[in-house]
Amino acid sequence: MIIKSFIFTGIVCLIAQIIKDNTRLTSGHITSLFCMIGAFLGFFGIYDRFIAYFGGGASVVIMSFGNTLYKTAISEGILNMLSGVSIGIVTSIIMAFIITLIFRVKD
Amino acid sequence: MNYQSVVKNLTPKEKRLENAFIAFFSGGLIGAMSEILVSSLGVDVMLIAWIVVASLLTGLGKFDTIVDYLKMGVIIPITGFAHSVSSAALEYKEEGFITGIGANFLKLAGSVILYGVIAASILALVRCLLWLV
Repeated sequence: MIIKSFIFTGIVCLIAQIIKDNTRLTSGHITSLFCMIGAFLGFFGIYDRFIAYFGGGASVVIMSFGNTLYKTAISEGILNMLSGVSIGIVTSIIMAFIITLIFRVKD
Repeated sequence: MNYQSVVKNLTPKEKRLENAFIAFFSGGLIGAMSEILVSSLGVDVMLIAWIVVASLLTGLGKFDTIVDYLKMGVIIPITGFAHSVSSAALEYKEEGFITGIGANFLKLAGSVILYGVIAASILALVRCLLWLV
């Protein structure tokens, strides 16, 4: 399972790196794109199979964000869709605030 | 002339191959560590652990160096999301708490949330329509 996770996350990052090197898209474009691809894969029911087969490697990638948004939109209602990903967003915000209080930008 | 054009054609290609290789290995390493965390502690703890680590590294100013070495391998996992929030907050600290941090902290992560929400809501509507038909 660990090896499967390694291969899955590795291949996703490899595709992202190839897109970044060969087009003008920035990292922001690519993360947004992958998030939307995750929602599409969730729509066709493919991403749940990825998570079942590849384990944690499929949950850590940003595509999992789009998949969770779509799944929560189906199960809890469209307007509640952020409840599925609130752990990631809220933890990021709280950590970012603590970080800004402690550290200052280094040039 | 011919030699130079050959070199010009070859040099970036080699770098691209190397970058892709590095991204594969760094991303794979993060995926493997995530699998260990998920199997022992669960998905939520795994996400929180990566976010805390990425935010701390951003605060210490190390994350950009890591991105230089490991390429997209650390941007595509959730660490990239956490980095985008905390780096935007840190960058605008000088401009004050409300107009600086408050107004700018979701600058980069906002695009992921926006397009994720739009795509998911359209797909959910499509699915509802398909269900009705």
